[in-house]
Amino acid sequence: MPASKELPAREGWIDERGSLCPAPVIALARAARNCDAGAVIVVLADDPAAELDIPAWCRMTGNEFIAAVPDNPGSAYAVRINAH
Amino acid sequence: MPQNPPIGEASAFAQVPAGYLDALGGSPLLPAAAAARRAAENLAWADPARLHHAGRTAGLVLDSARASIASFLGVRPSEVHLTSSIRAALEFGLTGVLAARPAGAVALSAVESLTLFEAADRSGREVEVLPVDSNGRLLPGSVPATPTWAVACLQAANPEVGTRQPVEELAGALEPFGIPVLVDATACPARIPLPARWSALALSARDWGGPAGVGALVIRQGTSWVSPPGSERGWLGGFPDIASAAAAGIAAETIASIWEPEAARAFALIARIRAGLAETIDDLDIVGDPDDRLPHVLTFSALYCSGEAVVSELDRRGFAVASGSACVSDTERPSHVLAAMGALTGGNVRLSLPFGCTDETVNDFLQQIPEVIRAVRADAGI
Repeated sequence: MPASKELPAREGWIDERGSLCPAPVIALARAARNCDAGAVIVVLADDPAAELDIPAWCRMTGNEFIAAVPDNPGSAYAVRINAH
Repeated sequence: MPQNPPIGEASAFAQVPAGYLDALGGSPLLPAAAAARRAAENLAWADPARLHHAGRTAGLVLDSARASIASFLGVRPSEVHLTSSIRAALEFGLTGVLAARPAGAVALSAVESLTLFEAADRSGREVEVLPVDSNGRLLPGSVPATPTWAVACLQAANPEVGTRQPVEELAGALEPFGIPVLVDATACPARIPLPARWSALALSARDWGGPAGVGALVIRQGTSWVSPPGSERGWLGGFPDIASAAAAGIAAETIASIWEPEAARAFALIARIRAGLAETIDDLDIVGDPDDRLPHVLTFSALYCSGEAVVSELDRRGFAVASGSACVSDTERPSHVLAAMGALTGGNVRLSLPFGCTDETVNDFLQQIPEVIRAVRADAGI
C-alpha cells in the first residue's frame, strides 16, 4: 500500500464483496469517471476474477495498479487514476 | 479475401450449422470416417488378442487404423498407442515416463492443460511451473543450466489462445541431459505442422476429423517408458474401441491431403476477425500471438461484460462460442491460461473455426459482435 495520506479513508472504499465479475470492474470504472487525475481509488472485492481483472483494467485503460492487500474476506485493490 | 472452400473439397468436410464457431467444443465426424465406423462396427467387434477368425479380423482393422494414423503423423506404427481420449493419452504418457525415471521433478508450462497439472500433482513429484509471456508463450531461459527434471511438458500450441510454443527449442535444450519432453498437441493436427522433436506426443483424433473417443500417445522409439497394465495390440487401458479407431484412421487418411489449404483459409479468416474486432469495439483485450499461432483459434475479452451474458446473447443470435470467464467455467475459476498471461478474464470469448467454416459465418459474426457487446454493456449500465 502507498503512504496512507494518498489513500482515501476506509469509509470511501468501494465495497464490491459478494458481487461477481464484472461488477467490481464496472464499479471501479464508474468511480474513476468522477475523480481527479492522480486520485487513488480502493475497491474491496472477493470474486477471484477481480485479482486478475482489476490489474488488466488498469493496463487497458492507462491507469496505474498500485497494490492488492488481503482484507478478509477478499482483498483491497488500490488504483491510481490517470485517465478516464 | 478468403474464399469459401471449393465445392469438391468442401464435401470431404462434414456440414456444420451456420454460426458454429466452437470446433474445440466438438466437431462432426468427417463423412468418410462416419462411413468407416459403420463398416467396422459390423466387421471388427471381437477381441483382437483372440486367435480365432473374428479376433484376427478385429486385429487387422486395428492394425490398419494405427498404420493410417502413423502415416499421417509421420511416425512408425509401432510408436502409436491408441486410447480413449487425449486426456488418457496425457495421463498414460506422464505416468509411463515417470515410471521409467524414478527421480526428478515434473516441469510444465503455466498454460498446460489442467489434465497435466492434476496428473503432475498426483504423481507425488515436485512440480515446477515454467512462466509464460503476455502472449502465453514459454519464456526463453526457462531451462536451468543443469536441469534435473524427470520430464518437461509443453503443448505444441495453446488451444485456448492459439499461441505456438517453442517445442523444438525446449527439446533441443534438454536433449544433452537426456530429459524427455511430453508434448500435448491438442488442437494442432491438421491445423499446423507438428513439431519434430519430442519424446512423447499426445493427440486427439477429433482434431483431425475423427471421433471424440480416440486419443493417441506416440512414444518415440528409444524413449524409456512403462506401458500401463492391461494394454494390448496398440490400445492402452481396456478393451479397444476398434470401430472408432477405424474411423480415426480413415479421418487421418482423408484429411492428410486437404488440410493445408483449409488451414491457410482459416488463418486469413481469423486475421480478418482480429482486425475487425480491433476496429469496431473499444476496451477489448485481444489475446495470444497475432501471427505465430494456430490458424483457427482466437480469444478476446471485453471490459464491463460477463462472459456468460456475451455467450448467451451470441447463442440467441445463432452463434456457438466458448468462454474462459469464471462464470462460464465448471470450476467457477477464471481460465488459468488467461491468468498466467495477465489477460482480462471477464467477458471472454473463444472462437475456433471448424473445417469448412464459411465466409458468411465470419461476416455475420463481425457484423453482429459490436452490437452484442454494446447490448451487454448497456444491460450492465455502461
